[in-house]
Amino acid sequence: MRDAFDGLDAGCREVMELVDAYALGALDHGEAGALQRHLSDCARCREELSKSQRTAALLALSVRIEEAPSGLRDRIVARAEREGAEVPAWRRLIPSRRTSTRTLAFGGVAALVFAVFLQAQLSNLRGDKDELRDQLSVTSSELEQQRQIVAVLSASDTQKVAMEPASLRSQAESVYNWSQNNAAGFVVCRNFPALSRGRVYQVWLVTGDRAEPVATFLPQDGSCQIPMDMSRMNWHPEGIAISVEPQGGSRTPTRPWFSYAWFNEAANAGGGNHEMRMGILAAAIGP
Amino acid sequence: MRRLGCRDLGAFRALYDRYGNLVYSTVLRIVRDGQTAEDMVQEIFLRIWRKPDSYVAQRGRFVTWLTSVSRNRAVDEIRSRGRRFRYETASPEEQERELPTPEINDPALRAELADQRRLILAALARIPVEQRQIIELAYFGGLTQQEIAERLSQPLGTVKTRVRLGMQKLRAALTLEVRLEER
Repeated sequence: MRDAFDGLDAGCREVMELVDAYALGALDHGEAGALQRHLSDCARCREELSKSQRTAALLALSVRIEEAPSGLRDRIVARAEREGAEVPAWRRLIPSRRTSTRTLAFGGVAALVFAVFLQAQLSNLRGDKDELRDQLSVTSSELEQQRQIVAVLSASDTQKVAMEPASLRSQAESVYNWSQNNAAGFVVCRNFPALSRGRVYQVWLVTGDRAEPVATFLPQDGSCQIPMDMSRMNWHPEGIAISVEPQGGSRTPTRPWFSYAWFNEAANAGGGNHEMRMGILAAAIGP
Repeated sequence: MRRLGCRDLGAFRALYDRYGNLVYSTVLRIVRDGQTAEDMVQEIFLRIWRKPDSYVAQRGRFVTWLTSVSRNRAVDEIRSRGRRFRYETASPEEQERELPTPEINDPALRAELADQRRLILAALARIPVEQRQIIELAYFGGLTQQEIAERLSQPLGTVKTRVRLGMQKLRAALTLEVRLEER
């Protein structure tokens, strides 16, 4: 007797047995990571997952509709109105992928040219050698950071996500850009408040119950650029977060997060793309 | 959504009027706390205001995307707080009987959502209760299969099988309900 898995190799069979649980968000991160790795190379399993996700997404439409508190709308609209006068900060930081890539790529090239110029100038100088060496060292470090950032932004698979401050009153803004192909990413931030003495911000890559420290930093004038090397990472993070920690950083994060973002918030979204009255249902169940 | 990209506050108000109660209800079902749900509704709508292009039309309908985003964010919240879902004891049949008129301002959307909800509940009622319970614990409770097995004192293999069978039957039941509806 044939079953739905006939003709599939062992890897696909294994994945097909997991896709429903994945669509429901019921896999632990080890299983989810293995599945994601398989999916990146297997269109057939991606299609199967897509069907499961569309079915799972319908479950949200089974909830009993409750009336939201009457003042909530006004509060949300007032907050949006306060923000509305400005173009969102993340757009100022990264106006669009194409623009930002160009801008930062040009920035990187300019930094390279400047560094070459600086080194040439330095070689001609006969002043305080130690001071010059220090300056050159700082410039090289900044240059390396620029190089990493340009590499991420120039990659064909660059993705970005705006991180949300945990406090609704916070004006802090940050964006995480990353490239899986380059195994690298970086965080840019602005309007981060100065911390009290002995405290630093710390970046973490996280899953549901795991947080891996990535870097600590102190913003300069509220801003930061934090390159991240993920070449040694052997697991798939589900999100990125920033916490406030004691000087030197911590091994486990102090909650609540200062800001955070989840990479797959819309991963379960789906549905048909047509206008029939039962469109969502029909799309979920397929032909 | 295009108007939101132009910072059109009227469009944002209309968006909330259309979907505010749906988002609130989805989140409330998961977090089970009115104040937390309010905070999260605010966060979700402001996120859309700040990033209207986070919705990509080619990937599906807006309402499905929005409820999925709401569900995922609410589950993140209960996971990070370590709080756990109290299993919804009302069966789909009971939920259908007590089906209220959804408080959504758009009559067409209200009718569509009410129809869809009725069909989804009818489909859920067609699958065995033990499979339905596990699907709901995963989707609304944010529990992994391992956690569900521990919660229900069932072997992990049983939970995995029920997830798979339950989802297959749900898909089949939805097909059946849509066909019955179209007669």
